[in-house]
Amino acid sequence: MPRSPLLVLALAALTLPAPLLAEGEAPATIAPPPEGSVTRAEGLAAMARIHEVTTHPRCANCHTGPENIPMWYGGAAGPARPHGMNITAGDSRMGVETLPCTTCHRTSDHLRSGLNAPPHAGLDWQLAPVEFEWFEKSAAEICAQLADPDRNGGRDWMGLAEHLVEDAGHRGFVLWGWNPGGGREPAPYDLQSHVDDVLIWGVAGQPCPEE
Amino acid sequence: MGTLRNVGRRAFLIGSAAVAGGVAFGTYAVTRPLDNPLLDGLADGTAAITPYVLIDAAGITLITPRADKGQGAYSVQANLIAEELDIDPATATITPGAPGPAYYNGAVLGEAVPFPAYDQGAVANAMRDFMAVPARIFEMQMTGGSSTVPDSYVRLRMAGAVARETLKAAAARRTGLSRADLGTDDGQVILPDGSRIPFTALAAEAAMLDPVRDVTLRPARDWTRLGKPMQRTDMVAKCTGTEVYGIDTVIAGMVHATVRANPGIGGEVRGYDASEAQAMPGVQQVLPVAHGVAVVARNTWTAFKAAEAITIDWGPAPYPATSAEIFAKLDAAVDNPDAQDHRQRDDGDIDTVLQETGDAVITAAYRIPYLAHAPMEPMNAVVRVTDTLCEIWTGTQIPLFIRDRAAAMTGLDAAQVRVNVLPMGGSFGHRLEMTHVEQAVEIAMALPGTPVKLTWSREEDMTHDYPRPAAVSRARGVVKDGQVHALDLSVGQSAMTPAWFGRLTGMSIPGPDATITTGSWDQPFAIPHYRVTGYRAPDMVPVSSWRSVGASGNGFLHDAFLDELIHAAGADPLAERIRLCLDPTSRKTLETVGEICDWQGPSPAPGRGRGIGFCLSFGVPTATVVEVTQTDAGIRLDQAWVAVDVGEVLDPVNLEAQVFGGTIFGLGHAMNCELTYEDGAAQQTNYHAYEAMRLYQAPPVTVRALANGPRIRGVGEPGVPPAAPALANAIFAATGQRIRELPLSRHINFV
Repeated sequence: MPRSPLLVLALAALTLPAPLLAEGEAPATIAPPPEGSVTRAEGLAAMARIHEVTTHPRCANCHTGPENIPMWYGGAAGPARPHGMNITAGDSRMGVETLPCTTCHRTSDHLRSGLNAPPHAGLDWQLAPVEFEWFEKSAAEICAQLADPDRNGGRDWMGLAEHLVEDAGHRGFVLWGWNPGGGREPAPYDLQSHVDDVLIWGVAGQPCPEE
Repeated sequence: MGTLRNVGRRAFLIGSAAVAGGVAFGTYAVTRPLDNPLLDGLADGTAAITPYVLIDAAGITLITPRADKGQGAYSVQANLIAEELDIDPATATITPGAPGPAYYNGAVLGEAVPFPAYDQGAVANAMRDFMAVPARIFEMQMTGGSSTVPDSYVRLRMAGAVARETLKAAAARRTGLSRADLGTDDGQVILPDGSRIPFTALAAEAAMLDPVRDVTLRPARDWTRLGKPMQRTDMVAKCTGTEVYGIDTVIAGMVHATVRANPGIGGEVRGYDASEAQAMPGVQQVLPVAHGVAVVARNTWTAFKAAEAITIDWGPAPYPATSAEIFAKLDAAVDNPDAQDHRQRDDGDIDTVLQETGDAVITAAYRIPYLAHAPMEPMNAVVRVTDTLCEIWTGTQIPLFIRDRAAAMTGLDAAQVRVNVLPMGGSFGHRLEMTHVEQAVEIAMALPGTPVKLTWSREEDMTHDYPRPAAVSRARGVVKDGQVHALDLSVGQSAMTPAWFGRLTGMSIPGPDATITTGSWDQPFAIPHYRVTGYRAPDMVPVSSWRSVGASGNGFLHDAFLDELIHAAGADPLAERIRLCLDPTSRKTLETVGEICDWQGPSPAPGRGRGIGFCLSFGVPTATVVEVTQTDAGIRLDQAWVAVDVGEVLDPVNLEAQVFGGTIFGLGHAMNCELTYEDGAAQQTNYHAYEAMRLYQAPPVTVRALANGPRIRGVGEPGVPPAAPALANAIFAATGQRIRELPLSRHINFV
């Protein structure tokens, strides 16, 4: 194959925009395991997978710290570095007043994200709140954060799972993370597995790994 | 030192092939007046006094045959004519005109002579002047090598002066006055009584006269346009978005095409399935072209999408498939006696010095990557072929080579091929190639009478660019008593000139390829033991000239290692370069950059570093100082200062823009750019993976132009070569890290 597999993938993604969800179809189902059916070890294993997802470039690039700078890394973007063009999302996390994220990042029902084109998602683009910082955080740090209502939007574990599904239902960033298009590497596993892992972790009593 | 003893054979072959290989033809071609292309189809009442000035009742047209890739070439050519013709170029029509042999470039081959630029002896300069002869024989109407100004400086002013004096002669004949009593101003002949006759009213009479040839050029002190900031003639169109580039060409009835060719350049097509593409709405035709498949559609986007939908089985690339294999071949060539291409500098006795120095010899290995030209406007051309005519509209630096190739492909005479040269959205050397035009001709021949507009996608443009050659160097040096005592540089590279000239002409050039060491062997330093050797690695990715050509890479390979030696000697980087410099013009350039940056040594403050880079290229000594700061997140470029000497400054504002742009271009590529190869194909297909420098990373650049050099020179390219070593040397000064590989981002972060 003369072209790199990545490029073939990218071109396939450009030419074959597969429908992601049929109209009205739920993006993922919430079916927690029965209380007491999950061991602590299984909960920790689920958290390990959650950590893989949350720290993947598709997720972590916008879960950055108080500098309010989105990151670029992974795939064609290469090693971790600040988003090009000297972008800052500002204290609003939506872009400084003269240059909102939506200048380039489109809000659209179609998760179209061509090669070299800025991504589309169903919600207006912004950085996650600063207390949700995931970038280069350890599993212990992210676990503690997800378990802390002060740093997770006031949610219990079921609330987190519901948040994922609802965001995906709006064709938001969660769904985009697994359908980034344009040759970008998607987040690991898939949306349903990630929701299931949050539920497993929750039923297990939200165990967190040691530092 | 360049002497006749070690002259490269290729330089003579170009000349002697023309002279010895075809004396009768050659002599004839050299002495015969070249046809004035404006005389073809000239209307009554129109005077074409020289091939550069056309005047009729409606107005004045200035022919500016050297292509404009954004560097202001049309403006400077127009102003050279206008200075002597006494017109305001804003009142004239400015056009590249129809390509023709009269527009050969008499300066571009001057760089090929085996004398370093600082050698201004009689033999060296006679050879440079002689190189206009083969340029004329080969009909080299070509834009490149920063040669537009040196080539046209006298020629276009002469054209203006001849036209002016001939118009005065026509006025003299009409009025019965003596030509000596007449003056000119603002497009009019002025009679002694103060009355005026517009040039346009004299055109018909001037056409009846033999041109007045005994003209004298005005001295610089009398210039009204040259030497001062000019209003560039293309600025209004460019600033208002109304400039019509090649890619904007619209010809009635045209169809739109694109091509997907084997990304392993030159590889075959084993087979393809276009059924999906052919079923797409708006797709008119899918047809094979050399090494690829073309789609003809109702618009360019449809053609792009359809081309992507074709499944193609590519044959392998006819060169090593991966960057690792490519660099292994370069490493195998360098210092391999069987691969030695040329050695144009061999001062002192380097072998003895290295042997005597033993373990104290300082050694280093450097490598630089392939680089794409990546102009903003991807390659494109419109072609219409009929039984009697082939018309081509494209932005190109080589219109006559395109004419001849199209003639050969279509079976038409060269006179039946019309090349319309259009403004270019950048080139950096890419438009010295014509693969895309060949493809457009091929498609147009399949659709007789229909204008076919071929546009390459960015991905096609980058994967089918003939890049700047990758290179490796091995360097050895000796320092003694705080000074650089010996420098031995070996450069391994693939040959650029034979590859490029072969593609253009189908002719092979025997002998060495000077570009392998241009920018290293010819530097103006009197190092007591000093040797530069070029080694050629065969059968590599086909390469081409890239802004500043051989010097673009050698500027880094040579100057960064020189900096290592100076550091090892414990000397100051600027002071030691000045001490070593044997050329007064170059020395003044180094001294000047030190003055404008207030050089206080390489480390002005903790965490901050300054590096100096120097390269004499295209006859222009250029010294660059870059200052960087080490931050927690990486290296920040703070400032740059550049001093250049071009012999004579025609437009100080445009000069500053060219040098500033060349510096940023050189720095950006040094920071971030490379083409790597996998499966025989370039892996960087668009700007997301080949992004040079961001606007916010660009440092302020201060440019100081000098005019001490003996000859007027062009400045489109010389800003590039010293930028990379200046940056690498600055990073060393700030961090102690000596980076010997480009792009620098492989080893360090930039903020």
